[in-house]
Amino acid sequence: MSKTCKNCGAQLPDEASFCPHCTGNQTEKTVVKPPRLWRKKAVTAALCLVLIAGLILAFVLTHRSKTYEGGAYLTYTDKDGEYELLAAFHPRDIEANRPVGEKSVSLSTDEASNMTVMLGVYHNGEIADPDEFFAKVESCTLEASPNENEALILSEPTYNTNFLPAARESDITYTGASGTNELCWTLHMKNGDTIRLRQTFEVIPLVHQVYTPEDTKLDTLEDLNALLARINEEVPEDTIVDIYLPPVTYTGNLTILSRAVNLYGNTEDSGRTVFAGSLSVNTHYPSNVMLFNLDFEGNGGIGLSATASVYMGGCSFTGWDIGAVALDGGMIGVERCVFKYNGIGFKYDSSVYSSFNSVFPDCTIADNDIGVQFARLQGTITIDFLNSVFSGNRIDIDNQAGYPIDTSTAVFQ
Amino acid sequence: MIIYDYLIKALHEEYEQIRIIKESKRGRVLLLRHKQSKTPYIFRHYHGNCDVYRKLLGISCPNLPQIMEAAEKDGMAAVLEEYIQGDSLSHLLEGALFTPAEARAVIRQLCSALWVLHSMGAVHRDIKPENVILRGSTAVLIDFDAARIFKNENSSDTLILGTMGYAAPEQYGISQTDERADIYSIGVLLNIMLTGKHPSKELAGGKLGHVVQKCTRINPKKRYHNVLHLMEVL
Repeated sequence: MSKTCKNCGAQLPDEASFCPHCTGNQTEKTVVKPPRLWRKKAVTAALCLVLIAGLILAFVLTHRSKTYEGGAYLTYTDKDGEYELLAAFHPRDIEANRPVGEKSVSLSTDEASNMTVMLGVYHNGEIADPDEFFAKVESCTLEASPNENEALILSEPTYNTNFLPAARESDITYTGASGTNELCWTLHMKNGDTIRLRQTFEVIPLVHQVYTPEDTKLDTLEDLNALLARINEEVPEDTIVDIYLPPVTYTGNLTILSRAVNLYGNTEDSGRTVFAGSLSVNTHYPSNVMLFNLDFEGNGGIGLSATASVYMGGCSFTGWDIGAVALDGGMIGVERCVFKYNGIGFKYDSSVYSSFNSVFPDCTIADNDIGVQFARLQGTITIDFLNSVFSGNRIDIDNQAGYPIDTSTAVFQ
Repeated sequence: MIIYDYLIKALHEEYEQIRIIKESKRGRVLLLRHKQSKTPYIFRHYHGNCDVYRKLLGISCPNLPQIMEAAEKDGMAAVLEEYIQGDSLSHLLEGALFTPAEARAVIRQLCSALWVLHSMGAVHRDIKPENVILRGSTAVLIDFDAARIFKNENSSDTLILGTMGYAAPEQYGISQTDERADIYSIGVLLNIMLTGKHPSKELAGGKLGHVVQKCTRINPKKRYHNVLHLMEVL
């Protein structure tokens, strides 16, 4: 026994692994472990990678930004469910959940006009709360892409209570040369989604047929009626008719029926064009009847009654029981007009109209019993008496209908 | 021979017997205690060889007892090994069955122990609840008395060793015993831990039931090829 204990020094057999005296180990013990379970670990790691990749893919697929392309209508789904989005040109279409993808209007190439275009949102079959939906919207834009012609001018889409239940509304300014434009509503959602709705707006340029005293006999009411009859017979419906009148006084009543024409009074020094009888407008095509620089001088009765759209500028009404009245189906837009010495200068007595003028600018309403009377008028669009002057009337504005008006810039003398 | 005598003498003089753990015709297993340090040890004294114990002398594995000394003389083996303080699996199984997770953890550790044995060319051949001690959460496989070094050239084992029910069919002389015999026993043990019954009586359910099935195939070739494969599955 030549081996001694490493611990206690006791003599041990040469092959001893252990000192029984002090219990000390005499051999180094090798710690052994099974090899790493590479295969299982590899498979597990691969499965984990596949799982993670799958989860990422699922996450991406379920959360990736989506683009919803539609015409005037599409459905959009997010965590709150399905929304219906529709584009139209009139609130009544929004209200009826009736998307309108195309609209055509006619306009003279040298004229400009306006149109509204709007967006409606439905949720669960009901008109959605615009605030609730647009809280999810990062931006809402409307762009026009002209097809050859000039682009429309578009106002920024806004929430406008005048066009309820539309959630967003934009004003289109167009000319007769605007041609066809594609309107594209783009909504960038906060969740990254993009929604696009498209409409087409077409402006058909109108051809003007002009009649002047130089080339047409227009001296009497009979002449005028004869011309109107001829126009009804001969002139295509989509042609705008402009009649320039001489400085004469037309006696007797005139009716512009079916077909719209524009009457221009004389503005030369030689005198003004006067209508001493009533004018009735009851047209249905192609557009508004325009009256410019005409003086309606009466002795009782009604100066102008309209069951269609009339726009007049620089006209005057004096001596009538009612200077001008918009009846059912009619709307009269006025600008720079004078209503003086009438029972009622201007009267709204209409609950149905196809166009609307919300501004009553630069008019003089003086010495009437009632300056302006709102007998009947439906709607919520405020009429602004922009810079108009009221003076000497017994009642300046008789708002029986309780219609919203703005007289903040009007002058009451 | 010298070390056998030296060990017997030292144990006689410097160790005290606490109790006899097991006694049979083949030999005895005693719990001894070093008088000076009061360290307890297991002393195995039996007829047979201690090849496996000797191979474990230089090995440290948490799932195997540390073998302090192993010696032979005249067909007798003397082995001094670490005393594993804990409850035997058989004792624990008297109280309750193991959950699949618990059983899986124990079996995996036993596989680690077996891997050490198998990598030395040894087969335990007596895997059963009594030979598994749980030291805390660590399972330790003990008692290599039935273990032997398997040799491929042997047509069959000369002695029937192992415990009835846990031993693989080939241990009863059907064919040469190799490491797959331990896999069979591990399968039985796993089933016992889960169901309290031998798989032939009631097979565990679920995935572990399939593991048991594969471990206990009659044909060793259809079992897991080695404990590493079994560990992978677990």
